[in-house]
Amino acid sequence: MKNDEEESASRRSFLQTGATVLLGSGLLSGCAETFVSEHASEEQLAFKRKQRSNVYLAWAEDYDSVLPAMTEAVKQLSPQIKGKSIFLKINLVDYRPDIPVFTNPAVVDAAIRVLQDAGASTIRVGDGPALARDTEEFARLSGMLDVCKKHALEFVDLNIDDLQKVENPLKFTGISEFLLPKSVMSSDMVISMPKLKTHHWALMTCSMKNMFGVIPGRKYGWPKNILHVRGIHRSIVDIVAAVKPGFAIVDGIIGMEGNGPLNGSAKPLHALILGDDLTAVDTVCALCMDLPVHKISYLNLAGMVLGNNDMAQIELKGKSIDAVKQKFKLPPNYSADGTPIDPAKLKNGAESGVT
Amino acid sequence: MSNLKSSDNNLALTRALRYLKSLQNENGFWPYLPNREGALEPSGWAAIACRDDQSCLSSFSKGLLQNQNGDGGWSNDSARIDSDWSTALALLALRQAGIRETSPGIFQKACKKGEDWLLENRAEYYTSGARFALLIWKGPEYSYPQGWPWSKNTYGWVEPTAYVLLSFRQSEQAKKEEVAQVLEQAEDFLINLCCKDGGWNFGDQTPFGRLYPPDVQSSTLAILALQTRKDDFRVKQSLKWLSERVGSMESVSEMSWAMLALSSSGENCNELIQKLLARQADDGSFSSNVLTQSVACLAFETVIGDSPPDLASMHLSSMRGKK
Repeated sequence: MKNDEEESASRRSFLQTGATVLLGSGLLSGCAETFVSEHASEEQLAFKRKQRSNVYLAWAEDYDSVLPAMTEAVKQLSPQIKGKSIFLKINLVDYRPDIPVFTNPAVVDAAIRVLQDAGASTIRVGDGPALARDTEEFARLSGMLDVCKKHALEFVDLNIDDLQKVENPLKFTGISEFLLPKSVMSSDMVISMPKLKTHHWALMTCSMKNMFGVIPGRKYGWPKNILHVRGIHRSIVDIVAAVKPGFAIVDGIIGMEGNGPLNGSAKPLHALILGDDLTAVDTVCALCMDLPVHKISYLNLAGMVLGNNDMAQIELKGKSIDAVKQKFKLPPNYSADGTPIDPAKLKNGAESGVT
Repeated sequence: MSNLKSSDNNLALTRALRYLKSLQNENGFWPYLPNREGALEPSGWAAIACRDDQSCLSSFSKGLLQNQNGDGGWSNDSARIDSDWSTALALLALRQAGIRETSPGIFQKACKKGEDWLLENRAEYYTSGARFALLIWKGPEYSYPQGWPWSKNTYGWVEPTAYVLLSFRQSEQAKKEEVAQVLEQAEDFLINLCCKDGGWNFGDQTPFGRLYPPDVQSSTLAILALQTRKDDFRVKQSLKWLSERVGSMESVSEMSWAMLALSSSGENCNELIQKLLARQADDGSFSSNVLTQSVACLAFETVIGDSPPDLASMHLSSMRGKK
């Protein structure tokens, strides 16, 4: 006679096998996202940025050399900072001591110093992790709270911030309005500060995917399922359109390759990428990672309705892409050309794909 | 071993509750952080922690009744765009308030509407195609696990499902056979989402193709919700996981939630009490996060109270003397 544990193990095995089969046939509710090509209406197309984009690609050997690199980049790009309240949307997705999953605090520290020198009136720092609830603990462990304390700035847990209704201008997700954190929406300028990583479901996570963290858990839950079920790429584009971040600073000094955003390995790229158009910044980053840009669904859609993903429309300053470019290993659920692999054919089978 | 019921510990709890009560907004709700807008999640737990204070509770229950949406649910935001997961927590809190009312009809009606909303808004685990396949494969009697979502029309997850189970503990409707079956499916749902070595996270063991660790808050809620199955080895394994984590815990939030689960299961919480006491500030606060402060108060009371609240049954008010 089987005991409880054996029965549970066989039941778990049954469920996992079943889930794999059902996933493969698209029967389980949360299926992995495949590459999607979107149609955009005239109204949606009219939302696209009209002017060229400015991106600066800086070399930073390590985190000790961030400040001079960022100072020069900001000087060259001249974003309008003086007198503005700034929200730094960092990437604090999780805390792992051994792999670079979150924006390095040295980059945040340098950004605060550069922005203060440029005349920012106030600066706040924050994120709303999608999977775990104790944001403050992540902020403490990552060293982000120390950076905020050092500069006497507020750290904001975006999962529990006060909320305000914000219209979703593009509505690719079918959602007409979001409830978004007041700390973010009341700022004059939102700056996306991601860690550069490959991503299990979006192929790449950079300044645009990073904006997922403004979606408040208190309303949409952990994970932010209401958006994932409507397609990650559509959600990314809708969120960026609603929040309208004005600038991006990407921590690509040590990025992540392989099974990102949480389980990949460190990949030193020695790059700090800044720019005034998130679509353009992510395009440059994807090229630096030698990723198949045309396979990144959200970037294709963003190029249609948000910003520039065509290098002819991007004014690239600083280093050339070739001077920085390195081949990043793709997540294991993608084939070498960047095509998502059918979950049923993956060796480790049971992936829900709903997060 | 120190005396858990010492006057020092009682004083610490009194100060913590006093601080918590001072954070209640004029509309009866508590905010997530001091001087912010009220929200249902911190309010629900704060109201349960402050349930001996009639003034606190009356103000909260009035606000809660006013904020019930037309469809019977509640929202964890003041804009109330749509009803959400917080409906279950609202019901938990409302029962604490309503139990003291001299004319309880209005509370019963509000609770019934809220319960009906919950019963109508379960999440589907399988798509319609899969359900049809299961119907053919397993027959019409097959009862597959099914939980509750954070937002309508999305998938089921651990915390919303745990809250619903707790909210139905004192419900008359739970005695109906069809409702009892729904709740049993929810328990199955939670059991299935238990992590390999115990504990629960948000509700996906392998969100990015690799194992994701359990989370203390989610685990506590699942353990409390599954007290009806406390002999299940996964619940026991989860308590063991939680106990083993205590030594390395530094977060007040984790300590508070862990203490709630462990004390409710009769486990020793001496170490947690000492660690939490060391984090209490002069104003009585353990944390600036009101939800954490509320859970800490409740956990403290569960350990040191003369008549500790029975969180597993959610039969709380009668367990503590009226003031």
